This record gives sequence, C-alpha cells and structure tokens, in this order.
Amino acid sequence: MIFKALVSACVALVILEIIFHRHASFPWESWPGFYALWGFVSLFAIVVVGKRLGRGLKRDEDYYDE
Amino acid sequence: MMNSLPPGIIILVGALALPLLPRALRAVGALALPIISLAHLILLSDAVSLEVEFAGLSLIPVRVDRLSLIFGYIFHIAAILAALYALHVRNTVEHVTAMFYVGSAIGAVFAGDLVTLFLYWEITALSSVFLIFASRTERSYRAGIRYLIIQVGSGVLLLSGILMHYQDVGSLAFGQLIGAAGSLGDASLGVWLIFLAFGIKCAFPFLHNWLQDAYPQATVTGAVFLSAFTTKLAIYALARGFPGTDALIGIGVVMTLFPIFFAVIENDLRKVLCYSLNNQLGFMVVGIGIGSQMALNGAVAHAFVHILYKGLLFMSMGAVLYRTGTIRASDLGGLYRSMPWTTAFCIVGAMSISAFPLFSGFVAKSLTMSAVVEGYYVWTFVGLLIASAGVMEHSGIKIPYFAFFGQDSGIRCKEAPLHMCLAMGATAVLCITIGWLPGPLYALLPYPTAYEPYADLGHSITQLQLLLFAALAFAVLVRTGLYPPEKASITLDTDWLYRRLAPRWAKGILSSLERIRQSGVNAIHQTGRHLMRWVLHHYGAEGTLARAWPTGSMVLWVAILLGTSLILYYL
Repeated sequence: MIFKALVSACVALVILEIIFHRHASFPWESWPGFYALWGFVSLFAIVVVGKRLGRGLKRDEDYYDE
Repeated sequence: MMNSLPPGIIILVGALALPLLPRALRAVGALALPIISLAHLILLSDAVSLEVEFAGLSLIPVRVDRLSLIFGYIFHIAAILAALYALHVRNTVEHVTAMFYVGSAIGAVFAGDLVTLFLYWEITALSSVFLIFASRTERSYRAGIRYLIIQVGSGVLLLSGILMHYQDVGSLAFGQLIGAAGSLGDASLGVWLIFLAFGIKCAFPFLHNWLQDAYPQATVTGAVFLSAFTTKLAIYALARGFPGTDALIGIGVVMTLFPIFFAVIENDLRKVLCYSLNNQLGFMVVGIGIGSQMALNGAVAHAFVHILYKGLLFMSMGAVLYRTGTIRASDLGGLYRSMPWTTAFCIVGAMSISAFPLFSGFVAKSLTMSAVVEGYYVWTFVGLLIASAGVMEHSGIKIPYFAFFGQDSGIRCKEAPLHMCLAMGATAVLCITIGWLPGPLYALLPYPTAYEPYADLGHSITQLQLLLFAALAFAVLVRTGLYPPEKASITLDTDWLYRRLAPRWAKGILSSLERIRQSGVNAIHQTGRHLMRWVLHHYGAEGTLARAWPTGSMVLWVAILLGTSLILYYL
C-alpha cells in the first residue's frame, strides 16, 4: 500500500515537473526526469557499494575487546 | 556592568554552584542556566568588545559580532533543549560537566583572541569527556580516553600554532588567518597548525574517527549535548579564520561522500547518526571553502538548522535506547506501535535533514547549493548531489525505518517520558517553523541576503523528485532482498589504525627488542661460562696449580732455580 502511494507520488512529481519548469543553472538540469533518475540511481549505487564495503570491513562486535 | 559579563560565564559559574542545590533540583538548575544566559545575551548590545591587557599581551575575551551572535544563539537554544531532555538525569557530575561544556563552547564563539579561544577549546574537551565516561562501561571508558587524547592533541596543535603565529605577526587577534588568495600553500607553519587543530575537531577525512568512536558510547543525554557543540565550534572557527580557503572545497566534498557508505552498513543507529553528522559537516565546509557571502551564509545557516535536527534525531534514538536498552538496528523494528510520538518527532528530524521542502534543512542547504552554482563548481555540485541522496538513505530512511518500522522486533515498551517528548516536540516545531518561515533565520545570518528558497517552484519539485525516487530505490532494494540485512557487527574505520595496527606494531617492536635483549644476555652468560671454566681449569680445586706435588720435585726445582741464578751471577 505504502509502496503504491510512493510510486504514484513519484509519477505525479514527474508530471508536475513538466508543468513547472525548474530554473536550470546547468544544462543537464533541464533534461526531463534528471533529478528523479539521479535520486534513484544514486541511492541504488550507494547501497550496492556500501554492501561491498561491508564485506571487507565488517567484524564481530567484540573484535576490539580482548 | 551586566554588559561586560562575557557570554557563557553565567553558565560556567552556575555549573559550579549546581552541586549546592538539593539533589532533585539540580536538573532544573541546569535547565535554568542557559535560559538566564540567553536572556543576558539578548540584552547585550549588538557589537561590543572587551579588551584587557594581561602579562603584556592584549587580549579580547569578548567580541560580539554577527558571526559570533548567531552561533551564540543556537548554542543557547541547543543547551536549553538538551537540558530539558536531560531532566530525569540524577547524576550530578553529568549535569555539571554538561553545563561546563556548554558554557565553554559559548565562550569560545565570543573569544576575540586566540589565547581565549584556546582556553575555552580545552575546557570543552576536558568537560565533554565526562558525558562519555558517565555511561560507566569498560567500552565507554576506553573510548573516552581515546577521545580525550585526540581532543587534547588538537588543543596542543592549536597552542603551538598560536605561538608560532604570534611570533610571525605579533598579534593574537582571532580574525581571518588565511591570506586573501585563500591558498594554504602560502600560509605559515603556525597557520597550518591552527588549520589542522580546527580540522581534527571538524572531523576532516582521516581525522574523523574520534567522532564515530566516542559519541555512540556517550549516555542517552550526553550524545545530545555532544552532537551540538564540538564540531560546530570547529565550523565557527573555520568560518572565522579560513573563509575562502580553496582546499576546504575538496575536503568538504570528500567529507560529504565517504561517510554515506559507512552509514549504509553500520548497525549501531547512533553511530549511523555520527556518520551522518560527518557528512553534514562536509556541506558546511564546502560553503566555507567557497567563501562568498552567500556560501558563508549557507554554511552558517546549515550549522544552525543542523544543530536542531541532528539534536532531534539523537534525542529520538536516545529515547529508544532509554526505553528498550538497545540501539542496534538488528534488535529493533516496529516500535511505532509503542512509541508513536517519538516516531513522529524522528520523522520530522529525518525529513529536515534530508532537506524536504518546507523543512529546515531545505532552506539552509539551498543557500549553499546556490552558492556552488553561482561559482560554477561543477564537480562540487555533482558530489553534493550524490551526497544529498546519501543523506536521504541513512538519515531520511534508515534511521526511522529500522527503529520504528521494518521487521517487528516484538519489543513493546512505554512511550518516551514526558520531558523527553516535550524537548523533541519543541525541536520538531522549530524545524518545521524554520522550513515554513525562513525569514527570521536569514535575518540573523552574517551577511544580508534576499534569498527566497521557494521562489522557484520547479526547484522544490525537483528536490522532491530526488528524495522520493531515492526512497523508491530503497523500497525496491528492500522488496527484492538486495538491501544488506542488519547484523550484529561493527565496521572497521580509521580507528583500526590506532586500536589494532599500532598496538600490533608496538607489540612486534617490543618482542623483537626482547629477543635482542635475550640474545645479548645469552652471549654474556656464554662468555662468563667460558671464562669461569678457564679459571677453574687453572686455579680450581682440581686445577693445575692446586695439584699436590711431591716434595722431591720441589727441591729439584729450587736447586735448578738457584743453579740458574748462580750461573747468571757469574756471567
């Protein structure tokens, strides 16, 4: 249910952006859906990279207690 | 008379008087101190400064200008909210040291010269460590000692830098230390040392790990105090001494980026907040590095709102720890049923830090981002945009999701105590009010600004797109099972270098020294044994010279000797 609400909010925002243009300072900002894609891809990449990082850096909780 | 009283001194002196109050009233006394001190600060005229001569040095213990005033105000507000939150604490040492910490941090932002700054700088370090010790566990004790070593180390660097700088320029005034070109390459060694001292407190990359190491070990209330003052004092000091320093832009971008990966995998939710704190400091450092009026306004506004929403997030996680006894994401979940108010306050903090439009983070971060755009720093802009998605991940979603929603842990507890809810509620109201009406905050900023965060509706819409699509990615990751599950574990960071590698090396060096000593001792023993054997061979009980010789051979030898001497005599 929450997931569906989230998806519809996202769709609504993309439509709204077409109506209310952002004042673009950099050229890519005026591409439709740039910020939407950026947010999605960034978070995805952050989690995937973080997961990799965790494989190397995770230790037991008592690692330092000796 | 009232006007010449340095800000912060009321709290410092009052803290000493707290133990004189009846035990039950000490917490109330601690709440009253910052309120009285704030009233005094408001009564101070706008731009006063106090100069004194001491031991031939001209010192400025009080300098009130717009930059120090806004930090003074927010430090007072933070102290009042944290003291309200700590109303249940019965540990007198905690109240006294917390107020010492607050008073010295306030004193520091009004210090007009470097010696006064150094004194307050050290008092903040010495007093705040008690908020970590107060947890009274072996881990908190050890983390506190490490924290103290690093903080006092920063003070020592600061003092050395101040002395060298004084020899170079003959003045102790604390103004802009970096040259107009903003290049650290031209700066003197003294200025470099001061920069490094500020950098440690500001948790620059590789100097950062004291923060994530120590703060999660503090008490429930101690962490709320700690989150507000030390690092923001460093931000103030950088804004005062190093505005427009080019190197800060790069340092700041790295600071916004690397903590977000650690925050993804960290299990201790208060430690996640520390990584998030580190990432937020990066935004402010970038603003200071750019150094334009708009960028400095952005950095200061960010520090102001950050103190509020980060405090709010630490309060809500503190309330969870207070009620459930744990703050591990792997043990928590589903607490919204038991703690609906805390959940709501936490979500306000999460939306503020993620910079949702109409929340406080948005009106501050937009200033910095606009300054980045204005200066056309393309890569910085890209870096900060990734970092914005990162903030949404760890503070916007992870913190509330794993504590209050997600998998039900089965924990059923009481809602946070009333005074905690009041403190969180007041902070949440401030976060929302600033988001709706940024005017009063903008009016307090060091430089005049006509910035209108909501003038461009498209800006708000694209910001919402960034945040909600990031949330969508999170939802997809969780639904597909790609999101890493929370497990009871710790994550190695640069503290490994001094908690593991350095001790291991020290152990290695000690054991090789021991081996060298051992072989030296062996060689001496060996030589001694040989010598002893030789001596015994000749002089021992069985030796050549101890043999019993027949008397006849003695007489013969005497005759030979006498005969020889006779012959020699006649020759």
